[in-house]
Amino acid sequence: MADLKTHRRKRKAVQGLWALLTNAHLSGFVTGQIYSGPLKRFCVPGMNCYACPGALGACPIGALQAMITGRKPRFAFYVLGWLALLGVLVGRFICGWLCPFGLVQELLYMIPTPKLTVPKALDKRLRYLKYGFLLVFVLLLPTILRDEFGLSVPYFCKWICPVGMLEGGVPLALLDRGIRGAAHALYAWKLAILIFVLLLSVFIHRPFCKYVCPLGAFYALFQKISVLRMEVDTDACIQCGACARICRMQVDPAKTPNSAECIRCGACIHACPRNALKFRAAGKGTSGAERRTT
Amino acid sequence: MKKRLLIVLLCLLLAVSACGKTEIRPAADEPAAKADAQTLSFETADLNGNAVSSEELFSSHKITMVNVMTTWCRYCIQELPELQELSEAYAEKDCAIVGILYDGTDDALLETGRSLMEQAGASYTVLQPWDGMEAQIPVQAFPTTFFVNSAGEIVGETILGAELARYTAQLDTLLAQTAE
Repeated sequence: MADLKTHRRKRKAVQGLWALLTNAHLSGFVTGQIYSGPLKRFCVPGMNCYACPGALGACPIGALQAMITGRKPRFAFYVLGWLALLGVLVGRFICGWLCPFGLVQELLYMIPTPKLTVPKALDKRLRYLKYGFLLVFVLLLPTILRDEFGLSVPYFCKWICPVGMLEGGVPLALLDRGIRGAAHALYAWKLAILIFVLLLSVFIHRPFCKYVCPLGAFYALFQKISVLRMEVDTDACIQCGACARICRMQVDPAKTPNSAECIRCGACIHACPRNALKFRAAGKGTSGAERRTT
Repeated sequence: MKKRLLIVLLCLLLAVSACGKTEIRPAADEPAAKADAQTLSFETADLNGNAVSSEELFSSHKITMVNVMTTWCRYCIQELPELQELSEAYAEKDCAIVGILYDGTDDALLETGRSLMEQAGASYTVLQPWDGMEAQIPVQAFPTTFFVNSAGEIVGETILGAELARYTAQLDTLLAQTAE
């Protein structure tokens, strides 16, 4: 069984490399010019702002809103289809391995401070908030709030998203005098949200992922039916609770291995003293022992 | 094996880092016309198909305010009525407001542009895109507004966002400078 530390390093490496690869338009950080070539029409799987000077791809949540806010609202087939495909294949594995903002929060959490535990009852309720952000700010408001010309704006991007602020708003304001000149009250609001989320991330593990992220909320809908799934070998499990203790998303993998709150980081698999937890592809025959899969 | 993978990835990174584009020079604190000021030169048509040459357009006014917009940009469309008013107010001061429909790359979009102008009650000249426009005028945020003198040189401050007060302030400042 692989060392937990090694696993953590490997995952960080994947997260880091993916973040670099998908933001490799390095010249943007010098010129302040966003990449606008052919790759930009494709969405990356995680949260990554289109306006990041380095971004090679589009943000799926941004793209969803962009399709909705056009003059003739088109059901965003392409983007939803792509996200649904990802969700049905791997669920929130993307959150755990391929999201740059998830990486940012985790790096901040590594800062050695006492950590905050959110009371269980409150935490459970707050987890539903992210579905609200998805429904209201990403889907409903851009659809409903149109001006007399039929135009709307991406409300999640505009009013909420700290990812866009960190990756786009701040770098562009630093690099581009014109954008600096356009930064007023809204910029201050977004900056406050960003600072709050970044600070919170030092004390609470991945607060944005748990309570706000509309993309995580979307992938979570597919978690229980995705091809990639986690299985518990109930014969091997000794109910020691090591997996639940190691889980920073407050999931109990032995009880609910495919919980909507699991970001499939795999830490629990390596924490289990009996190898009772495994990633599996649905359909690949798992013969013999009884499996728990919900 | 791992080292090789890393090298391949690094090469990929370098290969993908495309060069940036030139910027419209936002010369906020600098005097109007400098030796190396960027000059705009193009041939295009307005939304109604009438040919427009940059030389004719710019030389016939002291200052031309160029407002770059798209059909999908809500803030651009919402400021159209105010821009029309501005265009009327400054006509007598020998200033013109001219729009560029940055995404007017096909007939449907041009038609959308025309109908938006009509719906907003705006009748000033709006230009269609031309070959090489994005290299001359790289815009990534809309609306972007810049100012051109009668020699076709970009002067003053480039303004991002629909900020009417800043437009008029720039126009007044630049007019005062041309009077000197």
